[in-house]
Amino acid sequence: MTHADLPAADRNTALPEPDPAALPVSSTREVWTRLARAGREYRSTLVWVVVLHALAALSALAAPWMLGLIVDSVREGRDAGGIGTMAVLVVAAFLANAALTLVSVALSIRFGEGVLAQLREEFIGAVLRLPLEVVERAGSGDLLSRTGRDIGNLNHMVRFSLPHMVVSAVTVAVVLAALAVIHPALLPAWVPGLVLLWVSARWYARRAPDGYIRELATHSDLTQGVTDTVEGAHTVEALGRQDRRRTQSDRQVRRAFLAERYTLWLRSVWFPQLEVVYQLPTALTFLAGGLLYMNDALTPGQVATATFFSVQLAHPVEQLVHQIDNMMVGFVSMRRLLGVGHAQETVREARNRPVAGDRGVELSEVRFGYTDTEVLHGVDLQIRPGERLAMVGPSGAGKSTLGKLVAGIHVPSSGRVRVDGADLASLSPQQRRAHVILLSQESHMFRGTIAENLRLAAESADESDLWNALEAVGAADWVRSLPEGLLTPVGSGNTTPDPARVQQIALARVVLADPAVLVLDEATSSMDPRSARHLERSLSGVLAGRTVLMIAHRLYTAHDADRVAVVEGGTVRELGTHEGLLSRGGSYADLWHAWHGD
Amino acid sequence: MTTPPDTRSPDHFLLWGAGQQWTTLLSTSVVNGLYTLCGVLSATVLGAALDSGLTSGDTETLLLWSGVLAACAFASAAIVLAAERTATYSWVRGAYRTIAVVIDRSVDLGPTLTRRLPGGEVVAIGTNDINRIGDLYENASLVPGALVSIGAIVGLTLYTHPAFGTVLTVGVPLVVLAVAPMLRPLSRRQDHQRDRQAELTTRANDLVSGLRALRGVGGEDTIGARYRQESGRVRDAGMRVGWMDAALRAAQALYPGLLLVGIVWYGAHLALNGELTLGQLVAFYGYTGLLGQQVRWLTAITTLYIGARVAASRVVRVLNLTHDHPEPEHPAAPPEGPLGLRDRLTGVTAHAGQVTGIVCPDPAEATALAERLGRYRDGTPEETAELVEHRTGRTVPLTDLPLRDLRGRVLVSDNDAYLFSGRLRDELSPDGGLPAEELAGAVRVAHADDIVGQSPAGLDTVLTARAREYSGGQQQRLRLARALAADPEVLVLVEPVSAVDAHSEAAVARGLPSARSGRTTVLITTSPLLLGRTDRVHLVSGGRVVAGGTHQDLLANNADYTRTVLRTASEEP
Repeated sequence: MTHADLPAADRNTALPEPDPAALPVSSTREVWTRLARAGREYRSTLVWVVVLHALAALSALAAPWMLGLIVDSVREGRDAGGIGTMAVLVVAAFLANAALTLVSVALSIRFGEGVLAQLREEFIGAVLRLPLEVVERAGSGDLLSRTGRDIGNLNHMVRFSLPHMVVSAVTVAVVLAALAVIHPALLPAWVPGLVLLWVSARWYARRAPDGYIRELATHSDLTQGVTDTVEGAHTVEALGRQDRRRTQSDRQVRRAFLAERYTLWLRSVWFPQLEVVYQLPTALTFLAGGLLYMNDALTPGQVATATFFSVQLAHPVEQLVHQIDNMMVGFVSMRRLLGVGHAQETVREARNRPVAGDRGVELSEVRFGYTDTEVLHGVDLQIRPGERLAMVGPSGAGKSTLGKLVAGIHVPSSGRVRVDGADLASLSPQQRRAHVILLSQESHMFRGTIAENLRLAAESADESDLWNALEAVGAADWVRSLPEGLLTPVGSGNTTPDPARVQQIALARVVLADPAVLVLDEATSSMDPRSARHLERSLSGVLAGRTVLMIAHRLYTAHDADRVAVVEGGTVRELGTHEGLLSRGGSYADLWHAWHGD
Repeated sequence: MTTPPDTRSPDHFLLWGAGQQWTTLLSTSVVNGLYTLCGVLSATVLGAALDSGLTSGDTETLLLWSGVLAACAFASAAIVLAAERTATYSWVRGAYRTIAVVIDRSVDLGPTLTRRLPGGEVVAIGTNDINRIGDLYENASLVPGALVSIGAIVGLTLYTHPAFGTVLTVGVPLVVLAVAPMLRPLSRRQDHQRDRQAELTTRANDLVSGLRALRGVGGEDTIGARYRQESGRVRDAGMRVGWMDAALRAAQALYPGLLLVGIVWYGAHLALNGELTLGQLVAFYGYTGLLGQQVRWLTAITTLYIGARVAASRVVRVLNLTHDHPEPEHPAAPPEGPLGLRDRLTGVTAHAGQVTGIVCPDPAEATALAERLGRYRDGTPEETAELVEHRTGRTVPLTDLPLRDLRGRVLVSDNDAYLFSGRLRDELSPDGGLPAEELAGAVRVAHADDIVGQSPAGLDTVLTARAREYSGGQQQRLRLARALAADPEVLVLVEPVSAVDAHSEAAVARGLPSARSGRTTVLITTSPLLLGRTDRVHLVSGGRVVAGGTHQDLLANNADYTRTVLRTASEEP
């Protein structure tokens, strides 16, 4: 079967291109290095698996060996008395085989489960170190598909494919050795098959990974489509988008199908060649055995034994190759899983640590842009220690970007951002957060109890700390009214409180984390105006003594702040106290009057 | 031929799926039947080759028989090509049909789905369960092939030597049955393992969903430690199942092996007595190996079936959910526009063609009111909202209208409304698209021009899910533009400008009333700018209307209203 023989449709299967914003994928070499490390760690277990399986493979040869002896004794017309003894021996061999298989399979599962647990824990560890901007760019679909499907594939690879490969390789070696013991001249019967195997496997291995990577990418899209449909279920019904969602999912399924068709084409070329690899050696062994018999080098019984050794060899070879295919899928998944480790936050060498309340926040000549458009055009701004500065301005003016720069999430393309005398971008996330926290409008209630959710910010907080924090954000009464109080399970699979409550918990986390500088990026905008107002009032006590940058769209927030900065078109247009700006009669004053209807 | 899924049980569902793709399954079965027959043929040929080719002592005959054996190999290769294709199609059709019906149902269920099931469960169907179902279809179509080859072997051996054939015929089912009892405890353990695994996946998904929050405030170590703990438990459980798995594997090798020894021992006696030729003995030996293989297949499929059944039960659970808002048994005659909207519980009325403001000091009350006005939560008849025909005064309770008609006429847009991924133009336009100037108009009224203009692609910019790349205020204006573009007869907007800056808020308030002229609009809001542009405002508190009038009237005469709407620090008590 050559490439040209296939129908054009298969050859030119449209391959969906990978998304450039997607998370990175690691190299093959890294996967090998990681697997080799696992091998070293479990060296003794692996040695036992190999030894026990070699013995098991040897004992499995008893049956064809017995057949050969019987063929010869029948031909010579000898009495069948020996046959009984032989049968007993072979039964014993089979029992030994079962026992050996039992132990070695159990050991290989132990190995598989152990390695699998390590790998998934490493993956989650890497996910937890992903920089915020990477997460925002890639979307959750890709990550969710990696946590779901790729871990599933890895599961299969480590628990099945890897042990099977080891076992099959051992069996192949043992049987080939046994064949050589019967007569070394029988080995060449396997040469054409193994050469074909080598050549065709290389052909396949060169093409398959890309094909499978694309296939998995289409699965990610499909997952994102399902997630959209589920999370947007309410909106789908409200807007009558049912048909559109169906069309969309049909298209995604179609793309997944096309990607699948490409790998099917690869298998359609490869698998028939493999079949020849498995079966042709039997015919050749028979031929070689027959020729040796004619030269009186073998008895017919030995020819039969050798032929059945060849038959028996086909199975482990098939297993071996089949697992290569599975390994390929597992490998791709592992590249995707290890790839997450590439997008890690680089821990930079901190030149100087910030000192709380020392110098406040200083921005000088700060410029910043996403990809090609500049968002901030030279911002100068000082926030004094302990000051509360509100930032207002039209959406898209660059307020959130400024907040991210102050929190050290983005690094300015030119200019400097210093917080209490330190360049935050040079700190690790942990060090950074110990000093500055950015709280955005998007929050999440984790699966677990309320206490667990709170302790994320301060692991060692005791119960009274938790209550104080809840008190500070005005959530204590609500939590007290819950059936199990702090121990009430919340989050996915349990009841999730409304967004305002979720945000209250998020604010309580900030209270527990106790940073010197706090950036609130419209942290209350997802709440209804009244609860937002309520929350901000109860927060004011908590904010006291901290340097606070509040990105606000509600004017009363600005009114309450020490100073107000008006950001427009990527620069600070006005800066001063509420009264000062009102008397100046600029755009802040206009806004304020519009709000009051006068 | 497409029939709706049979959701009486997981098994019914799996059978339905098989029925939907029976041609694929049939061709897979036929091709695999041919393949296994080819194997049987090889064993027969090997026996014959030994009898006549080897012992003849002449090279030509030897070459001939070797050639026949090689031909068998090439025939198998040709069949494998077809087998791989049909098997893949079985998988693909089974898996993707499942996901298609699940999405189909999810789409129909709307908010009911997320109210009844954790979202992760439906997503897990897409990431996990369809694989199991696909695997079952791919492999189940090998069953007929296995049965055919077993039948062929039994037939051949019975024909060659009835007694010997009987031994085989009885022996094989015995082997199958001997392994079967081990499957039950194994499946129990696997269930347990799967639950643990599912819990682990839920935890991982939860962690990924909350990653942004986590990266902002911290707690990665704590969450990571919890995951590791759970992962360790899954590992330990896996190791325990491992012993059962190993025992099964050992048994799968042992029983056919013992059968093989018995066969060879018995056959040797027959051969010694001259009842069997050596070639026939060798062929029988080959058959036994093939039988063992087929039996292993059958048991492996049993395991796959157990997995697919669990997956199918999850699918069936989604498919069997019924919508929280049942269709009316006797739908009312469609009301004729222009339409007003009245909430029976509070008595709030939005007159046809007007812009009505509703102010609720208690946000929970505002949410409940919006849900009643759009029929998103059913209660007693007194809690139902109704449409009012302007001309006749006839009222039609929302529960008396088919849901899709109702949704088409009354749109409630709140701040939880989801923004889907795709081109901005498509996301903002209703089905069937919208003329460019009308869409531009909606965008302008929502004061979202800058969002569109911010990217060179304009309306062709591609949004990611939830429009994450946009700020909360921008998302809110996109939602507003989308609602305005849908241009429903009755539009209920819940706090449409709560997250936008004061500048944009003023601009929206200026443009909204004229954009909705002639249509009915309800604004549930506390924005003084929006309320200043309404025809009439109701202040709703404690389940009833406590005051009504124009915004200016209420500002002048109602202290509660003023407190709720104008929230300057000096005016707070």
